Amino acid sequence: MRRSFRALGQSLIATGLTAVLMIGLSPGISQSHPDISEAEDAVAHAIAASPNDPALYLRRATLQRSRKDWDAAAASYIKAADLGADRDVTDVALASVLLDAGLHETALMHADIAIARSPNSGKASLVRARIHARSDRRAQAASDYTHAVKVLEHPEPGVVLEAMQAQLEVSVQDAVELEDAVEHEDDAVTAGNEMLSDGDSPVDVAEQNIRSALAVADTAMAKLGIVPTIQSRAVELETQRGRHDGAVARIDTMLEQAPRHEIWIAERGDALMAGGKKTEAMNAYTKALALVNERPASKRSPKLAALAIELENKLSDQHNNNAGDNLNENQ
Amino acid sequence: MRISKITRLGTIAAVTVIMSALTVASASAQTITRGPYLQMPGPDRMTVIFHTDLALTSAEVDYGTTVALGTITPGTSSADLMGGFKHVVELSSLTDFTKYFYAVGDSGTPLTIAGADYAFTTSPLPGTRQPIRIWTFGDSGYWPGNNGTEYMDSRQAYYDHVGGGDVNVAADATDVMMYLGDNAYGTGNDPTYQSVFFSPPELAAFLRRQPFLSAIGNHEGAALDSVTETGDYFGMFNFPTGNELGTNGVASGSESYYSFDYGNIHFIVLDTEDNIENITTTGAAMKTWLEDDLIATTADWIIAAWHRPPYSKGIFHDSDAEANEIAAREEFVPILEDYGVDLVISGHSHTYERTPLIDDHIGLSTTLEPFHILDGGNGNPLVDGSYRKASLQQAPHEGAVFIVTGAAADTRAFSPSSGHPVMNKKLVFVGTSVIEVDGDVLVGKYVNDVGTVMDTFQIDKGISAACPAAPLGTCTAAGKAKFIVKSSGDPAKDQTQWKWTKVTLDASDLDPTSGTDLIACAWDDTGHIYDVVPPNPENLGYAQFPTTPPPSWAWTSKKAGQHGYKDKVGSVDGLIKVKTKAGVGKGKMQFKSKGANTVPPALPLTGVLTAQLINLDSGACWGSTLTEKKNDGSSYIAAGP
Ligand SMILES: [Fe+2]
Repeated sequence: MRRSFRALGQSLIATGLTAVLMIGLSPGISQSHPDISEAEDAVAHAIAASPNDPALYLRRATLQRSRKDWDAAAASYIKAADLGADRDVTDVALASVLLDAGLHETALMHADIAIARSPNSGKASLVRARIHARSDRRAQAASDYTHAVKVLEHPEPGVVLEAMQAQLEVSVQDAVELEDAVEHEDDAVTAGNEMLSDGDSPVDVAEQNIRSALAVADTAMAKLGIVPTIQSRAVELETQRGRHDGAVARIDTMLEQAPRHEIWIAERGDALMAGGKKTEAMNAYTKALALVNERPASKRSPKLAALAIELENKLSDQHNNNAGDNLNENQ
Repeated sequence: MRISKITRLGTIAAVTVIMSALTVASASAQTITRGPYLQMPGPDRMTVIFHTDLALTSAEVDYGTTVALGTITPGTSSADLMGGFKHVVELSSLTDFTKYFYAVGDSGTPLTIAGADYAFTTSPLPGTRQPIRIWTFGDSGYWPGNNGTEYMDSRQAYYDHVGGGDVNVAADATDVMMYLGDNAYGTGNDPTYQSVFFSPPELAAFLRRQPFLSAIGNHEGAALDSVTETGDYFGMFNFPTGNELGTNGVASGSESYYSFDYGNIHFIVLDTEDNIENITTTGAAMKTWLEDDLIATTADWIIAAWHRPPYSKGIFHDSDAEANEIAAREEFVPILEDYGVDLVISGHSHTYERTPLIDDHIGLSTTLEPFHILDGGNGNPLVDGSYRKASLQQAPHEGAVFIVTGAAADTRAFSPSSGHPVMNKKLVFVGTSVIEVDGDVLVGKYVNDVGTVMDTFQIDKGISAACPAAPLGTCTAAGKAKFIVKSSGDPAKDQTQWKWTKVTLDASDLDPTSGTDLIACAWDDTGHIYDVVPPNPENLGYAQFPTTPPPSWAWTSKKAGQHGYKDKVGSVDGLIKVKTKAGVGKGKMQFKSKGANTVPPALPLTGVLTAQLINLDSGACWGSTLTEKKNDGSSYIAAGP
């Protein structure tokens, strides 16, 4: 259930503070960060000298977060907000700290406030996406992840993979529930996967989810350039949906960066084979094997050594099959 | 510009950047409040960043290969966090490995004076083999208000070491500068960086001459958001996410972890903060990228850098106890070793700790076994011999050296005081590390804050240090041979002697003064039992090693085709004499070790003895199988054929 912003506004800071301080979540001050405690001492001195400087409380909160003292960090963010710190900063930070602390609903309130004020805050959308994901609101999570990747200036590859995964986890039921919820809200929420509808078969759902995930990947790579960690995942999804040409095209973009990457060349062979292009696939396997063999056996990593065996098997299987085909043809 | 120690101490407290002698008062009276500093150094590019208190009409950089400058590139400006403005000027289409002079300015009005104080050199093209000097250290942060004396002394000691004390000469002598994180303390935020990193004049003087790269430290980690790549650290600095700096790796898509090439070195920088803490989720991308990057690279050398040390027993940072350090060791080290990493550099512990040549030590310090140590010597070619890796380019598990160099500004003790058992060198002296690579030789040094070189090691690549497991099959037969071992239990009387006569040897076959590396090996029925490697004066790194006191050994060549080695004290494996003489059927080879440094094989020997002398560079060998004359617990004599 989504709360209205008006109700949220009333419960604003005080609710967050009370919830956090009363539950007492932090593991206590860790003794393993002496340099962090030195930094905290320095901030404490600065606060004693300038008790109304919100920047000092933000710095203190950052240090408290770095040693996972969530309730102390939350209190510092609230104090900073009280002293006039940028609410875009403090609300997102609070949402994030509360999420880390496991207080998902309170975290959501702060994330909603932040997004209402700054709809194009990628950080706020990302935090809310994670809150939804951990609260099993998969469609909302997918939607927020998609938006986050769209508006973040530099979406980190790890975040992009997380956002892609979120698209794949949306079920028809999730999407329908979200639509119902949206009908009762004034603010329009777009599902991450806009294509899903009630009558979709599991196959349709899988295909539509993959399309959403690939859209997330491509949105990110339009900003970042081709990032192999993202593109590799996209290749897997193209393969999964049976778009083998798409997989090959994506692998080719990676090979532009590393023309001798044996594993990608072998994967290119797999995609060609799956797409029925046997001869081209064999050429790719042969090329990959030749490149591995350029490295003397002693210079191969375990992964490349395993690849060489796999490629030899694939090539000899195919050779045997061809021989069998020829035999059949001759009979 | 050399700044005297007294002057330095006096000026550190001041946080204003401007040194009036070095800047030009412009008509509009803008003051440079930060920089200029240099980022994103590539073979064809450089980014110049500077801040001013007032807005500029059009920020620009005028640059050229002489102080006359001549090419103007405009930049972009934005508000900074100090109430002023940040200007970023990206220079492109530069020539590789070329020195450029520059001036920052505003619409044709220079704000700095062109000259030796404002210059940089672009990188060579990837793969170029040329001498490369890397300056690296971690934890150079010091507290604002503390004047950072130790750190300033560490830096001056480096300037003295490479540049006769002159900051500009030192910058010209530096190819790669790599900060290892915790470059400023507190939350590593913009104001702290301003006061302890950008403002002190002695630091600013180097920053405008030498670009740098950095790994994220835990203090920086506190002021940045990895998942959105925002925060002060990313605002101040630019790092490559793809192949901007020239690389034969692949794009990481992240400024938190990345790779680049400088000459024949492939550098990999990893994040041991957010990304290692989330290695199974968002951090997994870093691990996937690391292996793809390593598969792609074909560089001669692989050097990895990150903040948290995989091996350390610093009093506050124990690699057996801290999750990030353990994760760095378990997640990164096996992949890096699978692809032949040569050197791993980190900071965090305020110590200097350096391993010998090791491999596959992934567990806690208590799990260290002798087989993890591939060469337990000190890596000094004049003492224990350099570390040797058989393959020039990447090859798995031939060993790597790991350095903790986090004492740029401060030292802390070890806990336990004996430190980490894998370390060959453990120091609590403030200082910085200098890595020099020339072709297939790498020399690492630790220079303390008064300029003393406290550690030196060398890695030679493309040279197998080891005897093969079995005798080589295609050796030139030695005409007549003798092999003697004496091992009576009194180390002072230990002796090994090998002698071949009537051998066919070419003058060039065994010429150590031309860089030839030799190894003498022996096997019995149990396998390889003994070897001796005479030191080679022509290894390129030799000049880097302290020559006072000079080595006790020397090679001489009194006649054409003859080479002799003498060391009265037998400092290297007890070797006191080597003789080689060329001739067709009349050549000679002799190796004699004597005294406590000798490491004789365990007696008695088992079965037939084969002795061979191998030229490690050409693979040529000479040898024979010998017949046993005496073989008891204290002496062995064999002759052949
Ligand atoms: Fe640190």
